[in-house]
Amino acid sequence: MKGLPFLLLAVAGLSLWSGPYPLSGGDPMAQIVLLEYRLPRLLLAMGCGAGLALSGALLQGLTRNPLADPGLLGVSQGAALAVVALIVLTPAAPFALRLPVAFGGALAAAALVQTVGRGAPLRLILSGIGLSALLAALISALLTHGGLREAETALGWLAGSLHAATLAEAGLMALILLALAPLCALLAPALGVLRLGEEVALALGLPLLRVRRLILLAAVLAAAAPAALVGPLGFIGLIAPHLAARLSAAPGRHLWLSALTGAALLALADLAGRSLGAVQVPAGLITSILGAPLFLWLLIRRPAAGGAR
Amino acid sequence: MIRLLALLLLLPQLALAEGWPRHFPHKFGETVLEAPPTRIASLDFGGGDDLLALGVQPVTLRLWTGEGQLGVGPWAEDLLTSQPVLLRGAPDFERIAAARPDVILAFWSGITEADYAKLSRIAPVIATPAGMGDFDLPWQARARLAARALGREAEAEARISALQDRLRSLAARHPEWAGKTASIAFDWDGTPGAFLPGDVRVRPLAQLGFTTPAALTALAAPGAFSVSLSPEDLGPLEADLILWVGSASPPNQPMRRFLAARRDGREIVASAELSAALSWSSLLSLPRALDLLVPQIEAALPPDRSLP
Repeated sequence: MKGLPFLLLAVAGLSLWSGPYPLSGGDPMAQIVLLEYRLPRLLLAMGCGAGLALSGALLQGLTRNPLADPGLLGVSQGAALAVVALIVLTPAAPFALRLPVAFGGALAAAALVQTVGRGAPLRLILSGIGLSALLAALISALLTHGGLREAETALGWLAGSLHAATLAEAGLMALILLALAPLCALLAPALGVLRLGEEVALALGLPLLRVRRLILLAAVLAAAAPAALVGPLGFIGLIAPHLAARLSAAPGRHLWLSALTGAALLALADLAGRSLGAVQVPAGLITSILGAPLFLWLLIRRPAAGGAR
Repeated sequence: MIRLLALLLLLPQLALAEGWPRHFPHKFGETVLEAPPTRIASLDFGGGDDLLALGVQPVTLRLWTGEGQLGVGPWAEDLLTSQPVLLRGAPDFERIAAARPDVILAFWSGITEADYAKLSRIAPVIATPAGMGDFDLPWQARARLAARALGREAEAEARISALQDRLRSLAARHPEWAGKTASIAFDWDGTPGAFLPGDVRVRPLAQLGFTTPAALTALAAPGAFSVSLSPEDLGPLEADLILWVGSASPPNQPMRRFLAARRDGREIVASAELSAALSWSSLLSLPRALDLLVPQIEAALPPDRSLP
């Protein structure tokens, strides 16, 4: 557990150090490569990983379901549908429009999931699954409907690549995380109580309705930003909280550890994607390719410990 | 003879036409080249061909479709004498920077504004002209833009007019093609479709005299370069000539057998090389495409055959 910050630092150091461009002092291009290519990419990866992991941890705590992840909120699919619609239906739309459109789509989908899934956590899960399937179907329909070129542009975005990350985007993500930090600090003890079950939480005097709303709000914001900034990034929100729980059983620290783990995971995925071969593999594909086996391994290794936290 | 005279008159004019620095307005702004560049990075799909045709070895090549181990199509392998950095997928800025280019050509590349900003830190970037789709530049305009960036307009004009002459003489030798309809069809992951007149693959066929069937253009959204069809109704493809591109194996479309063009032997399934050569539509690939395609069209549409 103590090793986590060091692991994060090691991943960060390796990300800044390695790449096809040879770094050497006194080379102005090396400085650009380091500060304008590798650094924003690393920072955005860490920020988005932290956001997704935080969202996953909040949702797993809220629903007391270990399989909950930000995909449940419909945010990734909502953002994806909005961007794909923008690309396919109005190919001439300016590139800068994608971020606000994605954010709007993410929030709209989340609002819809919550309207439908009002009430018990199980209802939320089911409506999230249902709506995500519907949104995915709409995305496929748009891809089929659109021209080849637009479909290819959209598929590129759907792969979730960090290659064109800018410091401004990383800064925006950092701001969102900073704004969420006090809320999470406030919610951490409530999440601990919520683990004991709703009746116990109520009996202990937890304002259940308000707490639930706040958790959802934080979870939506934490997942909508990465979905809008990078595109869909699978599995981080599901796995990071589980890995973090392996590191420490203390519920009070679970959110922070999840965020750190998520940051390290996505940074690692992006590093792997850009250094495995001559082809840059988008981080979103790496998280999906590595995420599924990692998740199965976690389940098989200690089946009893798969419970909610 | 007259053409030769015109060319002779044109040549010195071209040489004098434009000095340096040169300005290149494009959809992301304007790029200025102070002097003729020597290390040229191409980020364009099939972009190496025009450079090689003009006698320049690119320092990067973008992989696309149909190229061999060297990164260029079989039609350009003899001309490639260097080992450029091969790029695949999203633009890899570091790899491009490591090639130390002094210009980056990206007018058939699909780069975004964000990509443009990152690339511009490496070297001046020449992007798609404003008002043009990312992949809409016709082959002549593509070659001319590359030539202007390299300062090799005369070579480009000679190549372009040679190719235009070949197309014109082919059309003249086959008056029976004029006004005939031709569909360029594709099978994209099970979804059939066809390319429309704005597409690069359709332009050379149009220069040979073929037109796109009205049934296809009627289905097109404004500005679209292709149209998707239902696998259940390939009827809009019906034409005097159907050319399937994109895959060496026959397209897996069950309704294909009901097309009159197929029944009458007026259907051509392009080889992988022909598909790629048409898609690249470069100064080097188009001659190869014509070498491969023309005998097949001649076999499919013999002059004496009367068509309904």
